Amino acid sequence: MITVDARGFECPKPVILTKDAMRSAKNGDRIEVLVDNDIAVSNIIKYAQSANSIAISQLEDDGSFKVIISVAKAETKVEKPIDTQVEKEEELEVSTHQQDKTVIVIPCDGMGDGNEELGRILMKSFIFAITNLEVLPSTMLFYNGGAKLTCEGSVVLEDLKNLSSSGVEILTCGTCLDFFGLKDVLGVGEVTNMYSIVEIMDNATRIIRP
Amino acid sequence: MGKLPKFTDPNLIVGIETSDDAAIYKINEEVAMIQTLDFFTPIVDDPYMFGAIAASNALSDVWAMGGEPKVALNIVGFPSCLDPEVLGEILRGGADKVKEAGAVLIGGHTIKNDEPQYGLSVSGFVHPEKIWTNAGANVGDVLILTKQIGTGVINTGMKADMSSEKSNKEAEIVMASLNKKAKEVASKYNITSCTDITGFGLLGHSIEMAEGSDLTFEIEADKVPMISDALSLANMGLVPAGTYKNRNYFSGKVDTGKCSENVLDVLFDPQTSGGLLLSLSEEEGKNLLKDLEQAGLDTEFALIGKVVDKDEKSIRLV
Repeated sequence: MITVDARGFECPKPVILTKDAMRSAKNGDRIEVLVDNDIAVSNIIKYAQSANSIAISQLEDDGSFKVIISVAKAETKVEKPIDTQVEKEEELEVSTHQQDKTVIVIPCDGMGDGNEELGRILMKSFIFAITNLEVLPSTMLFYNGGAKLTCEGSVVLEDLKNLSSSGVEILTCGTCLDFFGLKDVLGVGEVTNMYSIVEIMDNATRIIRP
Repeated sequence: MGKLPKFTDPNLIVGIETSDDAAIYKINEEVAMIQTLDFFTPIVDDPYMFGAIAASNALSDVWAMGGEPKVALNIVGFPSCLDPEVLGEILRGGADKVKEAGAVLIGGHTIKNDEPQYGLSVSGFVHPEKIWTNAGANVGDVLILTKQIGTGVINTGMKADMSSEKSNKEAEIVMASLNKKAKEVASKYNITSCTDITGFGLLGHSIEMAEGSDLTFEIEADKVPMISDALSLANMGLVPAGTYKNRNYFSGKVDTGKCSENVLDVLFDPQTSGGLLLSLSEEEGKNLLKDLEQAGLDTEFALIGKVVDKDEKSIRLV
């Protein structure tokens, strides 16, 4: 059992100490965090739950609190895909600290060749499926026919708005919007230019193209 | 506070009773003076940015009441052990914002203090008939918010080094943006009530407005603009103490519907230098949204709900 004494600290310090303890703990370990205010109790429980671990609190005789955490950790990503929350948290850190940049490029409004109507149906479910990814891409680039997807009237606009509000950068080629006369009806994200498109592709850790 | 003497004056239009942040004193039939003051300790590391945020926050009350700030004075506490250049940067940040506000900064007062503190005392003017109170909303009005919320959560995440550069930057822009432009655009319309979103959070201040108007506000939680990462940081327990205080104090007045915990935390998140919450008729609201778009605000704005008949609760989240 690991004991963390976070008494005398106000938030966010107790959460930081809990996070550090949980990081070095193994699956199934028990961590006891001592705190002296109920706000820290609530925040530590929230943190533990966001990392898919179970946490309970109890009031001690001296009026302080003890938060007991049963640490749940994925041993490896492949073996235990069910512990997604832990991975999510780790991934989040990767994306904020190490700048893991997955870029999805959408060069047309349909997916694949063969039949245009089928292509559009496939594109709709492709974009919907992205919204369900555990780890979202950092950027989505839309150009040529793809520019139509980010404009008013597009069947995937709501999904793209959801992605945008979840932090995915949605960028549409300005030249393309001009070409199609769509500049005034862009429904989500920002307008970009070729320099930025090249730079984003160049900086990407991987590029996905449907 | 109860032991303090009470002041009455026939020209005092808005005093301490309505728990407004600013007082309004009528000078004549055409002019009333708005008087307000606010200062706090640093919330960001960059001294210039701290000065800019503290000044924006102090100036905001004047716009929230429908007025124009005119004269400002610095309020400064500063430790002798810190480099005076830091103080210079704080004051420069504040002065730039006063300038942008169209007011004049004419000195102030500095004392030695263990911790830096900065803010402004601000005087502004408003026509006595054109004061925006937090008490005049009508059934059918729409509610428009002019800045995204979540600065409290992001500041907590910043202290824990768990928020991203992107959201830190976004929070700084939100906090340092003046409510001037939004107020000027909104002045063209019949604003039925207005407040600025600060310590009580979006829901706390909405409750004050709903109660002041004796009606219920229906707020669509997913339409409320939020700083990126605010929800995920709230989910990870980076929730400031003020949020819990707000939730405890106001929760009996909110029908939370199906709102999840982290969404409620952000809706109750105390804001530093938050946006304006305006109520006006649906028709005018549509035009105001277009005008705000045209004005090119640095912050996100949105129609977040509507005013409905008085219900058991002051706020209904849908």
